[in-house]
Parts: sequence; structure tokens; C-alpha cells
Amino acid sequence: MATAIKNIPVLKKEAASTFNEKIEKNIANRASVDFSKKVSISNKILAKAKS
Amino acid sequence: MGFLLEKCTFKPYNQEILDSCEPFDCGNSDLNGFFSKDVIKYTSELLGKSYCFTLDENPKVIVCAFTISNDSIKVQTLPNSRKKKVTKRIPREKETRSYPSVLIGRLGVNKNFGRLGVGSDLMDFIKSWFVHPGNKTGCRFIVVDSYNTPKPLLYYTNNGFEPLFSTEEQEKEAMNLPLDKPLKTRLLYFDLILLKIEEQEE
Repeated sequence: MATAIKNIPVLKKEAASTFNEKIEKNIANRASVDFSKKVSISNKILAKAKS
Repeated sequence: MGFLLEKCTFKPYNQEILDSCEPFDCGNSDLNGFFSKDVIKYTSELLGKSYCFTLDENPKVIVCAFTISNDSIKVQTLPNSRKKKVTKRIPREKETRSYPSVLIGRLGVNKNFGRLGVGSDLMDFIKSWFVHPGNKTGCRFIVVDSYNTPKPLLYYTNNGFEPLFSTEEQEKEAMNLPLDKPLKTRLLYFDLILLKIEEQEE
């Protein structure tokens, strides 16, 4: 049997505040990485899979 | 994602794949064991779904494979300082916020396709899948439980993932693991809010 996949524990105390700070920054940088081309390629991969 | 688009086909990793393909070998016995023995049981118990890309010129070859499942990141926070002053005599109520996430339980690239950028292409595909307007549910984060060794950790950090816990000690404490034992895996996350996509029809 392969190694069990770990559950994600609830983030508390320092881990919670660090995480909250990081995701607040990410909200400020929302949509800063243009992923349109990659989504377009991904659509083509999915279309090829259906054909 | 050139190689995956031009040379491969995306498929569910099911019994037909197990019966028709050569055994998947990514160079990691734990992952190989999962993709050869446990994958169907895992799928049938609805614990996760597995997918792969097979090589077009020889569909018996699995180029890469991954398993995903629904999960969430839960964050416990205390009320803000103003609220603290008002309620300082009352035990502080903890609030838990839950963010919808997808967990990559397993991910491997065939060891014969290690230098073609397949791993990063695969990660871009997974990210694209979950920011696609056609995605039926909201998903904020991709989470992975990576082997705690340099190569996989470098792969995930190069693909924009960050550790969920700043230190191994912090992670061991959260997982109730003994502090003197090595940590076999580390949880990392990627925030999908960073990705910009053009609006497309579903």
C-alpha cells in the first residue's frame, strides 16, 4: 500500500497569520500572471481528449 | 504545454489504462506502486480521481499521471484587536475560515520523459483546469503533499507553490508528529487568484 496522503490540518496561530498575510498580498496581486495562453492550450488538450 | 498537446492524449486513469499500458515508471517506487495497485480502489472509493497523458505514437506509454481530490484549507483566526478589547473578559471566540481547494494526492512523470518540461506543462494544465470558466465549483488553492526531498520540492516551488507551514517544526506540530522524527512530506499550496484568464465561453 502506498504512503497515505496527509490531511490538511487547520492552520492556527503563527501559521494562520502568516497564511492570511500571504493571501491578502495575493488578493492585491489578483490576476497578475497572464495565464490565458495556457488555458487556451489546456482547452485544446481537452478537445483532443474528447475527439 | 507543447509536448502534452502535440504528442500526447489526456485520459482518465482507469482499468483500461492499467490493462493496456506498460507499467508506469516515474522512478519512485511509492508512486509506481500507487499507479499500478491502488489507483482503481482509490477511484472506486471516491477518494480521488486519476488521470494520465499517453504517448500518441505508442499509446501503451504513460507519459505522466496525477490524482486529485476535493479538499480545503481551514484557517483559525482570533477576532481583531478592537473586538478583543470589548470582549477581553469573555473567552475569545475562534473563527475558522475554509477555502475550497483541490489536493494533488499523487503526481509523477515517466522517467524517460524527464527533460522535456512535461512536469511544468502538466502543472500548468492542472492550474488551467481549475481556473477555467467551465469549472463547476469554486476553487481557490491547489494543495500538494510533496515528498520532502530536494527534487520534488524544487519542482513545486519552481511552479509557484509555497509551503503551507513556514518551518518543518511548525508542520510537525500541526500534524501532531514527533519533533525528533524526519518529516516525510510537506504541504505546499498555489493561490489560483494570481492567474489572469480572458473571459471565455463555457
